[in-house]
Amino acid sequence: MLRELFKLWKEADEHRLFDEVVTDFERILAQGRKVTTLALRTLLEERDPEPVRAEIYRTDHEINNLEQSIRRRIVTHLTINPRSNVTSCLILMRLAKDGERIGDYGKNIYQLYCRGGRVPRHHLYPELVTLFALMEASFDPTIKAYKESQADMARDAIQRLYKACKHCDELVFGLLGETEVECAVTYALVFRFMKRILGHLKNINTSVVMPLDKLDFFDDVLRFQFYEDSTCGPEAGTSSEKS
Amino acid sequence: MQKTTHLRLVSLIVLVYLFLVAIKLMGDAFHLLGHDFAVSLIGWTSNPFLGLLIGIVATAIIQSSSVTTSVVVGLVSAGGLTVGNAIPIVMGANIGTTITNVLVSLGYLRNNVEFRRAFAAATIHDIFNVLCVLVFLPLELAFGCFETLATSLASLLYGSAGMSYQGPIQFLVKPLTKGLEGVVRSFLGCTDRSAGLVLLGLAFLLIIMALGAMVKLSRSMMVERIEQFFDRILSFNASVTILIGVLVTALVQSSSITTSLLVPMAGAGILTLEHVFPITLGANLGTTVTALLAALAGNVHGLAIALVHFLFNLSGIVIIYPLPAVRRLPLYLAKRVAEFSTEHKKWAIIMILAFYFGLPLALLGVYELFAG
Repeated sequence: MLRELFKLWKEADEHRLFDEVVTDFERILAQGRKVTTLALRTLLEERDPEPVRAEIYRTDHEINNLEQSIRRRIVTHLTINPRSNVTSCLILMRLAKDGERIGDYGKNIYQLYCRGGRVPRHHLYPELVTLFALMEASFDPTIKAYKESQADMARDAIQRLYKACKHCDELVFGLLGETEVECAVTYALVFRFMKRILGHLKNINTSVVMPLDKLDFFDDVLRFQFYEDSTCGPEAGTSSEKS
Repeated sequence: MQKTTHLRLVSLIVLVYLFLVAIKLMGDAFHLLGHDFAVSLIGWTSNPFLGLLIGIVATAIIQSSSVTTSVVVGLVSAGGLTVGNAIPIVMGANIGTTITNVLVSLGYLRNNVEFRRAFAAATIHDIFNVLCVLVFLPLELAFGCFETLATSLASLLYGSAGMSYQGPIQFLVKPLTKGLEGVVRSFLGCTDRSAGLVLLGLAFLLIIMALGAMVKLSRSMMVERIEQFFDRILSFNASVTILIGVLVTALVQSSSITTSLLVPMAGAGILTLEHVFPITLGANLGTTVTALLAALAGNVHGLAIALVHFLFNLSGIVIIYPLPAVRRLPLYLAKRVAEFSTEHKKWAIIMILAFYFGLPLALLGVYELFAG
């Protein structure tokens, strides 16, 4: 234990704790991707549920612990350095929640499989596969945009994810007239959970381009782009639009 | 970065030097003030309860037990206080210093849950120190155990040279103290007594300023390490946590800094009272480093009172922490006090003012009126 204290003493540097928090957040995202991918693959491809279940719950538990660790470290950091990195700390606190929610929605998708088994074949099945591919492909650019503060990359991701969220809504509303209620409910729930996952990924990207008070909203550059694309743009007259 | 670190290190050495100069200056001032002044001061502090109250009020006003104990070391070294008379003042300083974290906890008044946790974390320090005084002051008055032990230890450390020993620190600080004395005398052209009073005021001011700057500088130099320690605190056992408290406090030269950092963390629910308690005990022990540092510029008696401070705080840990049944008492009391204060916030504020200022000042007034 004393050796550990000595090690801590030697390793201490100005940004260590904050860097560790950022690393923990990246791990949350990586684990969130693992949960959602595993859950969706099970739902689409039907796998042996038991090992998947253990893996999903273990990973979700790890995500929750990481979120708590981030909060604890941020409070410690702000207690000892009240004037340093306040904005970054508040943003990270919020982003950790977004990451944790991704894991939760992944778990929700798996719970859907537990109750109803593999998703039934339906004309919206290809949409589900496409959205799944988009979601899976959005994690890496999100982590990269956040880590390297790449504003253009974040804007691209926000635009892509915003469109995908709107598309999820359209798909859910499109299910209203379905006669096969059980199938429609399953699809509606999956699309709804996927929309939330995509929405949280979008929120994480907004932290790269938006100030703290406008986190989760769009900036002028993005709003202009959305207006140009009339199929998915937010309603006119709003000062800022939230997902 | 390296350059800044070196600059800070040099500044810290300069501040330690000024602090030691101030302690020595206090001794020189006392010699100028004469034997009568010392006798009257010794007479005034001969009542141990009065000494205890002086320690509480003085430290609560300055918000630093390090300043009080350093001044006490200076006074004892100069012959203005006996070791026996100084012991209750040091014990009082231990209680008075807890006002800082109690004030920090008041920042959580708006949220009942956070306030209860923060207030308990702040008052555990008070309760522990009050319990120690309740146990050790009567023992000290009856048997003089701390005085005997500390004086023997100090004599052992000083060797046979005793009072006449002039260490390298004394040699280093002497030119500046003599220079200051010369400046005061030549500018004011005054008598020994007036020069003594001016130098005494200067010494007090220098102690407060040098120590204040030392605390600020050390804190800024150690902030990353403190953060690392506090971040990992939940993974350590109680003995290591006490050690962290000692280390952090010895480095920043202020128990108030360490304990005040714990209050927001306890308020946020990150640390429980059971986590806070051992760090607080470590902080109590770590803060004795300042008096020991001050003793470098003093003499064998100054070292003796500095050792009393160390032994008193160490004994408190030894009698209260190891036995779970005894350990639970301050924890229980802190929780009850925090619950009462959360339910009766006005009374909590009145209680704080009465504990640190009202009651001690009233008792001092009564003493002056009837016995003075």
